[in-house]
Amino acid sequence: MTSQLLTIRNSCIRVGDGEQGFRLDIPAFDLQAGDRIAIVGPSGSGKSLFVELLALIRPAPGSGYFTIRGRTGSTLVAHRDDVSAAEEERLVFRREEIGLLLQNGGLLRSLNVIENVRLPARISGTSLKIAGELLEALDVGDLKHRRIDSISGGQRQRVALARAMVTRPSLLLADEPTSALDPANARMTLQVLHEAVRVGMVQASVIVTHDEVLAREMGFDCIRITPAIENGAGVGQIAPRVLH
Amino acid sequence: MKRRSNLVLRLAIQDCRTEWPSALCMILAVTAVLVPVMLLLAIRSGVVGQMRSELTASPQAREMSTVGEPTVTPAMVAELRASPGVAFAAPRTRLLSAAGVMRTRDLQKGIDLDLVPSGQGDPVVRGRWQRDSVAVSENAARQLGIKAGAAVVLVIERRNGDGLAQQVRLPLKILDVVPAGQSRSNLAQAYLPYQVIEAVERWREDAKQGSLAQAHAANRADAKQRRYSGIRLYARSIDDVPKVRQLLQTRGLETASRAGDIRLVQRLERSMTIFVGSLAVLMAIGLVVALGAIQWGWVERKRFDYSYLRLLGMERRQLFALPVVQAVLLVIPAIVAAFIVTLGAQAVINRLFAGQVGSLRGVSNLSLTDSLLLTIIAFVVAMAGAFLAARNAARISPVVAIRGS
Repeated sequence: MTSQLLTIRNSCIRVGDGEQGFRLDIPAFDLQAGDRIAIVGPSGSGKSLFVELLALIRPAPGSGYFTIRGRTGSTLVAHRDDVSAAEEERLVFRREEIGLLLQNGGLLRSLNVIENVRLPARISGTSLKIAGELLEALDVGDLKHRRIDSISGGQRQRVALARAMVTRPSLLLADEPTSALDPANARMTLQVLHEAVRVGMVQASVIVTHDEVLAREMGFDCIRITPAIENGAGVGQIAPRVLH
Repeated sequence: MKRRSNLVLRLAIQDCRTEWPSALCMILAVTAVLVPVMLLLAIRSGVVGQMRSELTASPQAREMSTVGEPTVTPAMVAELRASPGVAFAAPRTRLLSAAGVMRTRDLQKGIDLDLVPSGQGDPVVRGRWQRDSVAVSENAARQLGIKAGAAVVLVIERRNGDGLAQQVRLPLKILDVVPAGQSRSNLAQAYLPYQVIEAVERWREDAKQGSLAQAHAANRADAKQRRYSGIRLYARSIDDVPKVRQLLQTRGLETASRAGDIRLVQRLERSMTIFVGSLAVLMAIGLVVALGAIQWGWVERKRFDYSYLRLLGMERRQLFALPVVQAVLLVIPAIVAAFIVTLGAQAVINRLFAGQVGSLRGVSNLSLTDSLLLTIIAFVVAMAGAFLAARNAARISPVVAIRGS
């Protein structure tokens, strides 16, 4: 049995005004448990904006809600007048349900490997035990006490992957996770993101990438963002994804 | 909640360790500002404090005696005793009447001495007064060869209308020997309850009084009509001396005291406090600006990390607390370093000026109060300096982490 994780209808995000502005239209976007989605499109098409929306950082008008583990956040995506209250609500939801993987890993230099992985668990107050197991599973268990500066780019990516999954989030969200990696590490990263869903570590993973070929090859369902110019301003439109 | 507070502390410590060159610069900057102020405070405490302690070491500085033989009423004595600045007050009889001869119990030795009004609470006399207690000055004790606890006889004489001498003998026990320097007078003196001296005066002047007991009873009978020839009193502290002196002046009583010396010390202390205080305020402002700038730069350098922490779900207040906790963590070693440097410099200064500045034991002497005050100020200033940086940190958007990637 599959369960719906996210439903967005008739939403759009605007940033800036006039010709400097940009609008991302999301007519319909559904996500359910077991999905591995790759959002693909050229630079400037609004991919990062979509990540910000899914990461509950940038609220957008329209209707949109997450339904995760029985919790429905109907106002999490949609704009609310009470911005500050909604912000804390989104923060808690993000902390507990969304794992994030950024292009450069986003690891803190001031913490060693294991402490970087434990960080989201410390922030959300969840168990720290899984951190070591994840590092072992990703073949970087022996780097636990190393400084971030002293490990390679590929190793950092594995550490960042472990960190993104340490709270066992429902949704794993990755923004350009392969763009700074060599082909072997890029492939490994997408494989981990794919496998994490298969083994039930996370319920779904959404990646934003330029590399549509690799994403398809690794079994991701690619959703395209099409850029356009409308009255001099940039517009991006995500292809509808509706699940029945 | 505790785990989240620990997280802020953990991140702050790790950040200071990683950024140790910046942390060290900040510690040195704070130390460099604290040391001169600490030294100035130490010198202020050293110079003024020692002058003050010399004044307070002996009750003499608090001693106040009326000049001449003014008229003092019992009401005035009662008013003075009730005054908060007065520790002890006893009325004086006429000086001519307040004299006697003290002999050792075996009557082998005897000396003339002045009778000084005293009693329970007299700051120069230690011990609990009994009915037969008397204290003597060191001079008197030396001449008589007696110590505290010795039995003596006080002999009072008068001449009756026929010119014949009459005596009363008062067997007494030495309660205490008042060391030289405790009182302004170095003469042979006997400290007796003022009621006894009053009775002596009455007995001497009124031939109808057959004994001291009768004279005492007569004094009690017309207590309200009594008039004294002065007052001996002690202020509660040296700071009370000028106030009490002024109070006495308003009652028409001129006094001999060390009010002039005390005023000089007070003025010096006030001037140095204003001087060091002004410097401390400037220091605090400078420190707030310096720490604020350093911490602001720190947060700006760490913008991505702060943004990522926010992205991971850290609350604004936790990010706000991070620079504040860091400031506190860095101020602690700065304060310790400042104390070490100051105490070292203090030792050098005191050695350099040893024996050159009057009787002062140490020119520089950092007091515990000043140390605590400076520590508190340093903490408050550090936190105030971190405030703007903390606000900046709390406002960093998680978008920075995504856009930066």
